[in-house]
This record gives sequence, C-alpha cells and structure tokens, in this order.
Amino acid sequence: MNCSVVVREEFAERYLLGQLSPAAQEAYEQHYLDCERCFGELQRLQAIQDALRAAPPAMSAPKSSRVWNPWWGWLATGTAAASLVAVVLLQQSRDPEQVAGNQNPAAAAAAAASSGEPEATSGRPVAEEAEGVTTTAAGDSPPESAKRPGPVSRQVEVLARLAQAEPPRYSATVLRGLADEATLRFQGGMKVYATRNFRGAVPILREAAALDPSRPDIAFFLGASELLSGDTAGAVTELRRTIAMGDTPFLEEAHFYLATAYLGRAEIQAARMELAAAAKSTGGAGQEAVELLAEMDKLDLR
Amino acid sequence: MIAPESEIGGVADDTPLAERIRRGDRAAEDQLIGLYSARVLAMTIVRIRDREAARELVDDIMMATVTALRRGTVRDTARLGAFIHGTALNLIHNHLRARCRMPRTAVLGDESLTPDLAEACEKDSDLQELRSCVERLSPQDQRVLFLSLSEGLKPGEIATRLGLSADVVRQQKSRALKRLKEMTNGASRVGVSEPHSDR
Repeated sequence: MNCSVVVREEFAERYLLGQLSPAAQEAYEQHYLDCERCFGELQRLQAIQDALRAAPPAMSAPKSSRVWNPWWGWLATGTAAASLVAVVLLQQSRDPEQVAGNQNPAAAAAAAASSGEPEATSGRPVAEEAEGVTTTAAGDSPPESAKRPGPVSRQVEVLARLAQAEPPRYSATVLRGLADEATLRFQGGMKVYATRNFRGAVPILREAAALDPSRPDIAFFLGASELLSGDTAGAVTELRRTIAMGDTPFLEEAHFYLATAYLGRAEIQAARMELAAAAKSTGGAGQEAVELLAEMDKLDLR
Repeated sequence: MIAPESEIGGVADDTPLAERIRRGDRAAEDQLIGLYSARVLAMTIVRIRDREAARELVDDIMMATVTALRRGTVRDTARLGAFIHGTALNLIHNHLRARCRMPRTAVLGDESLTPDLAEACEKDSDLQELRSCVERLSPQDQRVLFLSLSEGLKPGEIATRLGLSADVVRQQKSRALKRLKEMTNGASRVGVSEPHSDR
C-alpha cells in the first residue's frame, strides 16, 4: 500500500466508518503507523467526525413531518410499550372520556386507528396537521374541526405499527468443530439479546464485531440491538455496514430496520429510501415495508 | 498529482532508534512512544470502540514493544511499525477475549509509560477549535460532511437526501474539507502533518 492508493481509495474515511475488509484494514494500519502524512489525514478526519457527531447539523425535514418529530423521538427508544403509552397518554390528554375504560393500550391505538373514528384517537386540529404547526396549547379545548375525520387516525396506525415492530428473530446455528472467538462472543451477545436485554447485548456484540468486522450477522444484530436500545446513530452505522456487505441473508431486514432508525431520527426521505429497498424483497420484511410505504404515501409523509 | 510515497514521507529506518533502546537509552524510548502512541491509540479506538479502554491498552502495547526492544528480541528493527502493529493486534484480541470472560478491572503496571497519553493524543483544545471551524461552515456543507463522514452515505445517497446531484455533493464535500483544512492549518492535531522523516 502507498499514499496514492490511500488517497485515491479514501482509505481513511472508510476505515473510520468500518467499511474496509479485515485485510485492507490491516494493510492500512501498517501503512499509517509508518506514514506521518496519512496518519495526519486520518487524525484530521477522525477529529472532524468527532466534531460532527458531537454537534450534528440540523437536517431539513419535509414540512409535513414537523408535527411528527416528538413522536418519532419516542420511536427512537425502540420500545413498543413506550411508544404506545405515549400514544394513549396523548389521547387521554386530548379526550379522556373517549379512551376511558380501555384496558389495552395497543388495542386502543390499533382499534382507534382502524375504526375510522378519529375523534377517539386525537383532538389535534386538522389545520395543525395540514400545516405541521402546533397551534393548540395543552389543555385547550379542541375546535370542532378536530372532530372531522382526518389523517390523524392513520398516522396513529402507522405509529402503532412501527412501535409494534418486533426485534428481528434469531435462530442459533449449531456449528461443528471449534467456534472462533468472534462466534463465541456473538453467541454470548445473542443469549442476552434473547432475553430482550438489548442494551446489555450491545457491548458484547461490539466486541464480536471488533473481532470479526466482516460478519454480516454480527453487524446486523449489533445494529438492531443499538436501535432497540435507543442508539439510532449506532444503529444507522451498523445497519449501513451490514448493507454494504452486499447480498447477505440480512440485507432486506437491514434495510427495513435502517428505515426504522431513520424514522426515529425524523428523516422521512431516508426512511422511505430504505423501505423501498426492503420492499424489493419477497420476505416478511418486504411485505411490511410495502405496507408502511403505502401508509406513508397516504399520509403524504415525504 | 500525488507525489510518490518516497517524496511525501517515505518510511524511515528505525534501526538506530531500536539500537539506542536496546542499550537502555530512555530518551530513545520516549521518542518511540512519541512517534507511535497516537497512531496505536487511533488504531485501538477503531478496533475496540471504547476510548477509555483503548487509552489503557495503548500503555500495554507500548510497554510490550519497549520491553522487547530492551531485550533485543525484535528481529526486523528497520520497520518497527510492523512489529508494533502485530503487538497491538495481539494485545487487542487478548483484551477482547479477556473482557468477555471476566468483569473488567483496570490493571496497570507500576511503570506507566504514557501517563499523559490522553492529553498528548487528543487535545481538547484542538477538538474545540475544530468544532468551531465546523460550525463556521455553511449548514449545507455541514449536512454533506455529516452524512458522509458520520453516517457513511455515498454521494448518490446524500444527493437523494438533499435534493442535489451526486456531482454537486462531491464538490461540496471536497470544498468543505479543503475549507476546514485551511481554517485549521497550523494546529497540531488537525493541521497538515509533516513528512515522517524526523527521526
């Protein structure tokens, strides 16, 4: 390896993003250990990356999505319960009588969303939805226009569906012979994952990923665990890394969960792109992606 | 046009430095640590993704290197970078294995070779300066850099996200990086580095 190749192939950037193959990673490390110029460039990029991550720039969101930012923020936690509780709490704060007596939050959200009775799901004024601007203070009585059927119920449905998204399934593979260190770490992490302790699984899966960065299964479940524990930035990185590995068994699901991560960051366009990619699959993730895209189209979430 | 490697920082022969360390020259040890510890730290952070643990591990890596040089057990002393890389990989893998088997404890020897490594390698003031430089970029430039360097998106993907063409994204990214380099020119951490020929 020489400096020309490092510059031309953007090794520093790809190295920091975990996009190099293990062999290229080693070759690049050996190079910059002896090359002041290339190490200086790596340090500079690393510092820029740190600075950007410490203070991420505001992404211009589509107008229609502005009203949704707090909701997607809830989704960032990746927990269905929290999101659904948020839905129901909002409903109760708007119209407590309509939801009184409903013992099942998920059923409340789903039933309200699918019943075509928007007054049972939200008192948010239609004008507010259209403009994406909050104009009604908490505790204010909603105007009559709020009683009209509108897209809010469908938005709640989309939210509920996203919130109900289950963690990706994992089936342990029994391997003959001696498993390598990365596999042992991965299996350990997935035992924690199976207990739905996603936050606990993350550091172990990170170790596995560090031991073998080329494994799509490790990258995928690390990304999923980060997503489900609320680290959308980490999830985006790992799921994108999974996708960059090409045609693997995790490709479609990685697109789907990456879309969820983007929704958690209120990045609707990016989420749509990933859903579109997932929709090309004929599996379960593909079908879910198609349905979500259709719902987002109806709501004009672009 | 990119200059050949030999012109912009060819690899120096480390044999004299290794020989001085073998003879017990502490100044030579400090020089070795000064030359490599920041690089080893960068590599360790990327591989274990734990900044604090990486700082501790770099001490062990540099200690192992110096110990081997003192004993004269390094075969190819002309390319210490390769030896340090191999040592670092071994210790990083050992660290990852050990970390998964037992609760993590801080085990540092009495003799810490790089007590101020964090300060030496990651000056907060430099990072602060860089942050302020990044903030002075236009919002669009910041978005392009963030999506590229933090999110790892390709120019075509960024273009779709921002409603631009891929060529415009490439130009904006290139200009933004150049602008940052100009703004930070002269800073020890973020500026343009000198060729590796000062040993």
